[in-house]
Amino acid sequence: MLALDVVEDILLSLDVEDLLRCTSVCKSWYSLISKPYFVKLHLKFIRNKEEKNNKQLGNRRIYLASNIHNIEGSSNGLVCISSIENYQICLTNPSTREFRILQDPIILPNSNNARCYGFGYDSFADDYKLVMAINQGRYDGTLVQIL
Amino acid sequence: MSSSSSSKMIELRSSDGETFHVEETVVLQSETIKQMIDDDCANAAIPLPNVTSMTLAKVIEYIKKHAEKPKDDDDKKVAEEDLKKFDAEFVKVDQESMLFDLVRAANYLNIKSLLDLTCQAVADSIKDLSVEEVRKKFNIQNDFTPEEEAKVRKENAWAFD
Repeated sequence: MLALDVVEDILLSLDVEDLLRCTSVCKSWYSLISKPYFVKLHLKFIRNKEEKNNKQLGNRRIYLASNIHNIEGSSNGLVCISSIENYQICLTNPSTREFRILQDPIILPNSNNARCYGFGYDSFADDYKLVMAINQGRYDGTLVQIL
Repeated sequence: MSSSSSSKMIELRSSDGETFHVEETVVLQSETIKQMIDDDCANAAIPLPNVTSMTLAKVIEYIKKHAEKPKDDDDKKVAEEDLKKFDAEFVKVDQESMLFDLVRAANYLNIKSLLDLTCQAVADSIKDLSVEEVRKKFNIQNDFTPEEEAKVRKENAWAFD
């Protein structure tokens, strides 16, 4: 049997789909592949490979059930989208086909529907942030919230 | 093994006691051995208790090929192509266990390009294999309960299509 650090080297070379399938091989593989540091390393590895071979990873797609969406931003393979129908905001990773709906922002009753978003990676917090600016109808101002 | 150049020779000893003489400039591709030389630990034969003579011979074949320096730009292009062909042939080993041995050796000796090459070869060989086949290849016991395994599979059900 191979030591886990050698297994790690091998798993880093796998595409996302094969990697996700490998989570069910055994507990130690599952925990390795799920670790944030491994995910980051894998992202870096794939990027290097793409750059070297000058090709894009295929098979990045996800189907969403709700109707119309705006793409608000993307970073490190994550895409932030908002629904025009109900103002729901969600984050998705098309490579792993994960999908998460974000908590609704606090909207003051007087606000109208004019709003805009920005999405990005905060290296200081090592997390992703979504900024929303919304027009406050009555005061004729704009409220900026970090979500 | 002999060399026509005047480069210093380093002696390596495999786990089964065989010794190999390799030029220092060639062997420096191994970060592990480079560290030993830098620390002045390479005056006698360097013991490599984790690497068999069969694997070590393959590793040396690889680092020798990768140490060749092209003379000019035209030569460089030819050499690059040649090296690509060499790499592709290099990982076509008769026995699968040899590929694992090479991954282990590249990891231990810390030769990044060889590690990348052999890991990619193993990764290519498990592409599209079922989970059961991967377990068999890596000699891994399934330690999930049926319920746990079903749950893990469900998390990424699309990858099993």
